[in-house]
Amino acid sequence: MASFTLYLSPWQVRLAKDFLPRVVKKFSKIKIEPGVITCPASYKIPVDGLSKRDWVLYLTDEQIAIVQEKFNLKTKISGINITEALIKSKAVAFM
Amino acid sequence: MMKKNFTLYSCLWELTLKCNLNCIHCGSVAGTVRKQELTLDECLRVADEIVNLNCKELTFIGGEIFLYPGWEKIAGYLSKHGIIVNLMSNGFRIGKNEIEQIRYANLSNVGISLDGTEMIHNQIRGNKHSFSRIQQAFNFLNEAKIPIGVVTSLLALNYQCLEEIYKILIKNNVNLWQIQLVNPMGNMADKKELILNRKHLPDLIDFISEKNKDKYMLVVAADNVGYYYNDNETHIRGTKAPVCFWEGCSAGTTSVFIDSVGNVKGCGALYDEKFIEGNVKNISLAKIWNNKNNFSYNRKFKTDMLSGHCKNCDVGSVCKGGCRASNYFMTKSLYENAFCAHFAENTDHFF
Repeated sequence: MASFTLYLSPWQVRLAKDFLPRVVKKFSKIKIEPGVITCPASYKIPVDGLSKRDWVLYLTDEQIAIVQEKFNLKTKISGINITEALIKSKAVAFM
Repeated sequence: MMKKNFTLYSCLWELTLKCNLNCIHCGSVAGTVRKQELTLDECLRVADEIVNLNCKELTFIGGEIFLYPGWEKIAGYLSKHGIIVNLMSNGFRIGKNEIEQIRYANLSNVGISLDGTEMIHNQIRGNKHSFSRIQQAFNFLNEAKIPIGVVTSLLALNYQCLEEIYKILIKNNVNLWQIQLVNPMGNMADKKELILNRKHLPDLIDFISEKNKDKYMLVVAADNVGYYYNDNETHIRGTKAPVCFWEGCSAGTTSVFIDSVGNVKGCGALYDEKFIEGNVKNISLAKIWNNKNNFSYNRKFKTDMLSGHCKNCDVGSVCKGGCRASNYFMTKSLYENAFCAHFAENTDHFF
């Protein structure tokens, strides 16, 4: 599955800048690398906790439709997880 | 030569069944040490096999893990080889010595079982000092700057405590909270009246999603909580991917369980001998994992195996019928889920 890009609305850019003041100074879109899209889970406590900088980028209806199509999702979604680990791994990238 | 089809991601390892508490919901009926539990040398050999399988994450459980002498040597060995290791404990025994062991083992976090406010928790745990000992454990862990996770096992009698538990966790700097449902197995096999009614599932899922918005901690639904109630699904499964959602039981496909005598199963909650795929005393973990005929209930799953109300579900091909262990003990079928939030609002209690 190839990566894809979403163009951000002005309010999403402002939101992202609040959370990512030092990551990039100027951006207008987000690149998403589907890769492994699920969280391997099991009947145990997961190892990761919450970083102060983890947040959810809420999407517009149009963006939701694109993500659902690209991920082939049957479930409803409203946003995308943004964490330091995901940015570091380049699973999500602001450009 | 056997073909390797599945990559091991996570391992749950019960080092001992010995436990210092006698909880009413204990699925494994822990308390007394099993005969012929793996020795430290045997455990270190198994640890080596886990490393060689490129396992990424491992959680130690018991019984009570701190009652297994030398646990930190096994955990430390795994950490040293790049595996992210944590443990689950009832917290009763955590003191200065245990903190030193945890540091030596280089754990990613320490998971503590907390099931309610003081009175409810102590009632469930069967010990009037259990809650206060957890508070003591929180203090030790915070002082040592060791990340804390908490697991809450939900029953009918502690469901109403969730808000109060949440406040306790914030106060004690907990950064990860897993909420799981109790299945009617082990000590709970004859107490089905205490199992949470599934009509509460939508509210529970809403609760988890809402608390994640607060960003005090990451709150995650365990595998037996779900599924696809609404867009909350992507806010209750953690944050490891841009979009997280339940994609079916991982037992035997990405995760494995080893019990204290070396039996290997796909999941620790599948408490039935028929799910044992082999024993690491007799055969290597790699051979068990790579045997294409093992874990067939998941590795050979097809959507048409779903039964009951899961049979014609619109998300059945994604959800795959939910948690196998929950299904096994609730519906007697591996492929029908009793707690599904899809149905919870409009159906009567399963019993």
